[in-house]
Amino acid sequence: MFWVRDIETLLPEKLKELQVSLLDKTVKQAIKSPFYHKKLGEQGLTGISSLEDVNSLPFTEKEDLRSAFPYGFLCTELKEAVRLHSSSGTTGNPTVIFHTRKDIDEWANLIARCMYMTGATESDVFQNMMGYGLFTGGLGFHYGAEKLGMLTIPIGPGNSKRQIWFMKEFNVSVVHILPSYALRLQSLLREMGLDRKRDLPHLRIAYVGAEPHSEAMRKKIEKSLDVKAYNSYGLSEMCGPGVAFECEEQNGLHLWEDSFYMEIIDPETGKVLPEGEEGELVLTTLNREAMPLIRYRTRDLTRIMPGACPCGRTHRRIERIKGRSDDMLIINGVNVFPIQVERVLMGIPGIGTNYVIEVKKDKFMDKLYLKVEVDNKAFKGTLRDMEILEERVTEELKAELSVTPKVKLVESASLPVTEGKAVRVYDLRNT
Amino acid sequence: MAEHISIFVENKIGKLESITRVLSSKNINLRGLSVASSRDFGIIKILPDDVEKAYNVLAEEKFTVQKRKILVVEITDRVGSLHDCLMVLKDSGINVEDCYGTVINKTSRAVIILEVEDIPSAQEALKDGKGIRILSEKEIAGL
Repeated sequence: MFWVRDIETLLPEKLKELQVSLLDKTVKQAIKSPFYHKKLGEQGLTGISSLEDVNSLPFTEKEDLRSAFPYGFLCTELKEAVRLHSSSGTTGNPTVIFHTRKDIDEWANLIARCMYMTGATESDVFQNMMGYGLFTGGLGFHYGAEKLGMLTIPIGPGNSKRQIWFMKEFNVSVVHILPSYALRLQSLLREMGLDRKRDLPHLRIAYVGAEPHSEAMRKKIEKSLDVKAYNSYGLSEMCGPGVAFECEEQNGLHLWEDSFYMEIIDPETGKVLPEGEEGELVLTTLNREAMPLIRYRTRDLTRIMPGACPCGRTHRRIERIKGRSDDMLIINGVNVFPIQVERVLMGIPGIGTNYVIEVKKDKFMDKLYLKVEVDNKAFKGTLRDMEILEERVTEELKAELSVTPKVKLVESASLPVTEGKAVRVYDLRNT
Repeated sequence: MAEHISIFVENKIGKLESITRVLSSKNINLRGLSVASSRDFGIIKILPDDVEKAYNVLAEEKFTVQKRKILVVEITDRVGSLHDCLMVLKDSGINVEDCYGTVINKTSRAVIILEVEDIPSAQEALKDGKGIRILSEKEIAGL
């Protein structure tokens, strides 16, 4: 089902023409911000006239967003902006993204396009279990679902009993859910003495995103809940969800090339790679007013899948995200950088310099484990002091990360010391 | 001032033995020992015959270790004597942070090791206690 057939099936040559004109418009809009005014002005760039010209545009990094906090990227007057979103779990300044009314509307349209593509219609009842607020997952889907015309239940995350009650009472047919939570749902139903087929007979579609998951995990979700699970990709810097989405073929995510210009680069050299090769996804917004971003380095690793999709859409597909080119961890949808952990630990007296981060699956949920060496010089010798120290580490990390870690104090000099770059992060979720 | 040694250990098999192995290899004798544990870790306190040597040996072996000031008090080995001693401290408003004891072989005396916040006040309070005597460092070493 096509939300906007002529755009979704636009011939590749026409799509490229459209991209050139939108890229030129984007560059001209971006220059209105202090950051790009300086950055592009230095190179004398005022626009582009071909896709080859994109190569001359500079990359934009997450660090740039932080350094230009708060308004360095804003291209419109503040009165034109109607919303900001901010990414969770960042070091130093948060990254803040602004939207005009038109930006919000375009974004809602993209999400509606994604959901319509998977067969959702205005007759569906949609339960949005993603977090509302600064995080884009909740509000993004909410606006899209309303745009599509679905009855939308803005329940947000948590409180499983209430989730299931709403699903049952309102014949919910479509949900937006964290993959880890989707896997838990079946056992929660059973605990409540409910039967998926009998009590939730209408449930048929689950949108899963916000955290990378494997094909095996999708299959597991589909089997345990007897739904079609569609992978969603997005990042708040581009808008949020709605950047790329699976069609009913469930084989790669169509990246909306009328809204984003994509490149795959070698994360080491920055060189653009040929179609089909794996590298870091770099995106340029094509329609944004408040805050266009040029060649933004997402740090997400994927590749463009060559060839046409049987669904008829011409927008090229990316493979599900393979990992990150930096060390960011995504814990139940929340971004966590190991450096944040380190900064918190180094600020606590009594804690040594060595630590190990482990991420594991615990009852289908991600759990952050932390082994922290105590500083033998600061050791006072009482049990109570150590208990207080452990509580303090847990509380300070929780405040910084928005994730509650399981902290374990260990003896000084007991963790392995590595030569050169220390390996401190062990992601054991897929082992 | 008398001291004993506090060691931070993870709560896992073989931890206590790793300490006793180091101490016995250096010919260090223990007069007293206590273990307190939380969920994942614990604190082992030992009163060795040679505190300085034991501390250095354990620190060299990379144990997380600290010396702490204590009072070592000799009391009569009979029902109620520890109670009497603790009542003296309580009446003087002195909080006991940690306490463990040992009985001296072939005598009618017992020894308790006390960690208190305010050692001088505790010394003062215990000074006149009946059947209570604070041991000197030399006496502790000779236990």
